[in-house]
Amino acid sequence: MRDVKKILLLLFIGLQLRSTAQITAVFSDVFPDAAKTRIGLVGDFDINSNSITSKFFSKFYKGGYIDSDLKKQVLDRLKNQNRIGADVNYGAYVGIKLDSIFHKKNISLFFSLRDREHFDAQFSKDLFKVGLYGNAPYAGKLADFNKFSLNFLRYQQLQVGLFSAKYDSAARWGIAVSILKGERYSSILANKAELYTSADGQSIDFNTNMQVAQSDTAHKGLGAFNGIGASIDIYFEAPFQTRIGNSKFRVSVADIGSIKFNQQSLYMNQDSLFHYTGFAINSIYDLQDSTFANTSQDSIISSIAPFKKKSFTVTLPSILNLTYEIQLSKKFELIEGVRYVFNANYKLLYYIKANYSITKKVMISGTFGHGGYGNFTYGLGVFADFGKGFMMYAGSNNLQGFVTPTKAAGMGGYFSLIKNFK
Amino acid sequence: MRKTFLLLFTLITILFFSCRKEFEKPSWDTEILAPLVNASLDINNILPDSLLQANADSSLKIVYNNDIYKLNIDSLFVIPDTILHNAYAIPSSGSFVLNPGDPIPFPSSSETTYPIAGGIQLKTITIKSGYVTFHVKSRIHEVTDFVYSIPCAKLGGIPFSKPISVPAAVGSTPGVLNITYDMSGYIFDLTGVAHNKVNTISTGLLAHISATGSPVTVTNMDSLIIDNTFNDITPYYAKGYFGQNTYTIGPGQSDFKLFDRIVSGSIQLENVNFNLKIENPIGLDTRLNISNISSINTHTGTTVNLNDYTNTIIGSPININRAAESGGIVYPTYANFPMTTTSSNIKPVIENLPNKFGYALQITTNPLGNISGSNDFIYADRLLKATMNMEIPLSLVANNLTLEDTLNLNISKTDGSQNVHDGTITLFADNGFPFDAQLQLYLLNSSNVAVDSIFSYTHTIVEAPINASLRATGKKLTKITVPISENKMNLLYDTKRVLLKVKFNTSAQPQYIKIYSDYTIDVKLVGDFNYTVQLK
Repeated sequence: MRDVKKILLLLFIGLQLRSTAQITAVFSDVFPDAAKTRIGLVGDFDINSNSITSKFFSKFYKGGYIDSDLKKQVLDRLKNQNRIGADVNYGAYVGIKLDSIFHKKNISLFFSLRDREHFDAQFSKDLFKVGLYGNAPYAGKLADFNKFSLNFLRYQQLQVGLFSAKYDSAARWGIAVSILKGERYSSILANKAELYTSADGQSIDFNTNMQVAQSDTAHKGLGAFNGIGASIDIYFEAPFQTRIGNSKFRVSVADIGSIKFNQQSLYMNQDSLFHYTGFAINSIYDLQDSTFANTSQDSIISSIAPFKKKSFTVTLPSILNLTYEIQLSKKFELIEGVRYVFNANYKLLYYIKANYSITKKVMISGTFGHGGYGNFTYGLGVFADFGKGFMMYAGSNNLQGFVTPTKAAGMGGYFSLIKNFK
Repeated sequence: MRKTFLLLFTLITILFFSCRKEFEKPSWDTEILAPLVNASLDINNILPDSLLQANADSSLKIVYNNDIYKLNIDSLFVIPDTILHNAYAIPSSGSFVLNPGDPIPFPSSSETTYPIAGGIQLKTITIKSGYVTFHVKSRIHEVTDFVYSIPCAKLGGIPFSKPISVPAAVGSTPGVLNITYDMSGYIFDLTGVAHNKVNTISTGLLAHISATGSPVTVTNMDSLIIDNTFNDITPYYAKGYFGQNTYTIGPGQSDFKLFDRIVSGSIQLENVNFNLKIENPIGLDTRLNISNISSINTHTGTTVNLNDYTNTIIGSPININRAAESGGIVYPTYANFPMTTTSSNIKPVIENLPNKFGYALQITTNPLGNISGSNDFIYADRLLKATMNMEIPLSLVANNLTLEDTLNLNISKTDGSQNVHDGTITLFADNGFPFDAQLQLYLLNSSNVAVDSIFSYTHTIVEAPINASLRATGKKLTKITVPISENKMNLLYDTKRVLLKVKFNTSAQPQYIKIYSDYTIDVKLVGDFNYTVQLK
């Protein structure tokens, strides 16, 4: 039962789990000519699902009793295969404009330090029903958990990069490399997972073909150094003219890399049919000795799922972002884009974003999209230049979960505070 | 400005981490249907502590041996705590000076003979455990060194000999020393220096003025008193003549565990084969006079005396020849007294389902006198005993035969995060035995008093079908569903002990039913519970 709880916890506690950084914010922000140094604080979180509602998620995360109404809200939205994903990132960066490097000018160097978490899962309707309602309603029936997958990764990132700090006539670019400290990883991939409870409850069959990996469970927390890895980020931006106005094409790929977790990690590859008929006893007089007393949860888990210690390498969820940006007027800009996260149960996200400059120092934006971990998404944002080098971005790309918590899941927010120094 | 930014950065960082507080844990209700316990039990699992043997036709019999009486060596003789009082005085009159290292002219050896009750005349004993304590008083005004020996006591062939240093007397106050030695394993030759005595201990003494002392003047008033006390002497082996004595044993009771778990009901056995076996590993002729053997059922308060219709056991003297000993190996003698259902009332004795056997007897040693030339022997761990050997064919009629046992229970709430509230427990019993069974499980409080029960005696596990030969031909499935209310579940959580009672009735009564080795009952417990999941 502890395992089930862990899986459910991982499934729904998105904010404990994370990924995607807003690295493009570092690359794409224009470094004013007058500024020599920039310091930025960044933080963002997002959670979305095509089936779990934000009210359900909030209750799961914040705690309390999940009543039948709340379960039914989700049940009514469930599809045969469902997605959920979450990211939380925060950190700080420093950008320094260099006089020249490799005989080129207008190149900036930046360093950043971030804590990153990513969670994603794909699960069947039956898995939710068994987890939240129990297996009794499935007496005499097969519960289909096939293609269940779950990934949770938390790591810390030390990044160094270069980017062109000023518009070139042709393009802007950026590149960064990172050293990654792997803190925690859990993953379950069940290509086949079926639970059959006999009609009278005399047996339970669990037919599964799955791989489970887990980083060292003895070392947890921000200080845990359970793996090491590297990644690169690449950014490219090309301006061009259209009949309508100035346009830009942007492409960025973030988090191309992997983390190798150490030899204390646990791995299990199981392809078996587990037939459970209860604790076997040898004598009616020795119930205590022969069964329960010697049957710890660990021994049960060990007999069902024999883990072995093994090092493994985890490929990061890599983010591809493509946008086309057009300046429709001095105050109005439209961005269309697609986003995809590899290795993360993600569905291609199409989105459109509109930026409107109220004044030279204040801009508001609205986004609308479809895909990702949810269905339709929308959000609002604001940019403000406070003067004296202070700038701020704040907003959300997923507001729908806040607005209609019983019908939608997406919740998110981002915040960035920048200070430019001369 | 830089300071302002750093301050802001710090504040935001602290705010971010402080917001990541620990929330309450979520919980929700589920309905869990799962098998709890399964077992395939044969008769070995149902009849505890029994030694079952299969007959040629695979029917079973209980072969059970039980000691009803074991002689204790204390019953034959006891070596009392014994004090050897030795007073040594300077033999010459007048006074003279002894220099350091000079011998003190005490007598060098002495012998003491002790009477032992019952006319027992021991020649040799080996000590299993016990101590000798020396209490020494010296009136010599200088430290004196003694070597005290018991030449007749040897350990590994080496006589007991201990150097003792006694403080000097001061004025009229003697020097005193108390010291104790372990005598375990010592072999005592009690025949004296000339080897023609019994119960005799010889001792020796060599005394000197301490070599590091000063010259001292001694007179015939200067004495040495050694009291050595043998405490708690338990012999492992003894040899001699143990006397002609009659000992009355009992009335007493010994435990009989075969039917320990049977608390009520009755049983009729088709046959019982019984043998009273007496084993005598003592080198001593004995005569037993058993006045009573009785079967006692303390649950029902019923006592059935064993009646021997042939008058060869009860009330008649039984002569048991002495055992032989050669090279330290004992060859016991045996006497067997078989009893059948026709020669005795052994069947009702066993059908009484005793948990104790009573006995009363007299033992007379050496009824013919000292015919062994004082070569009687006894080993403390090889003593006369009376054993019942039984073969009880499992061909029986059981009528509400009720077995009972107390089991420990530990249904933990773990850390309180998981809770089964209520539900049902279903018992699936596929019974291959030709008897039905009614099951009950009582929940006991801390005083072992039943406060609630799980099943009801109206629930019966139905017997297997039988053929004309009264042999079970298959299995019969019984399904018993018991609701467990929330109150009962809470009681189960708090219960540490349960009392299991199973009541049996055989098929086709009043005919005897044989139990065969291939009979089994398959039992499964299935729980259907409302379960609140609470994440940790």
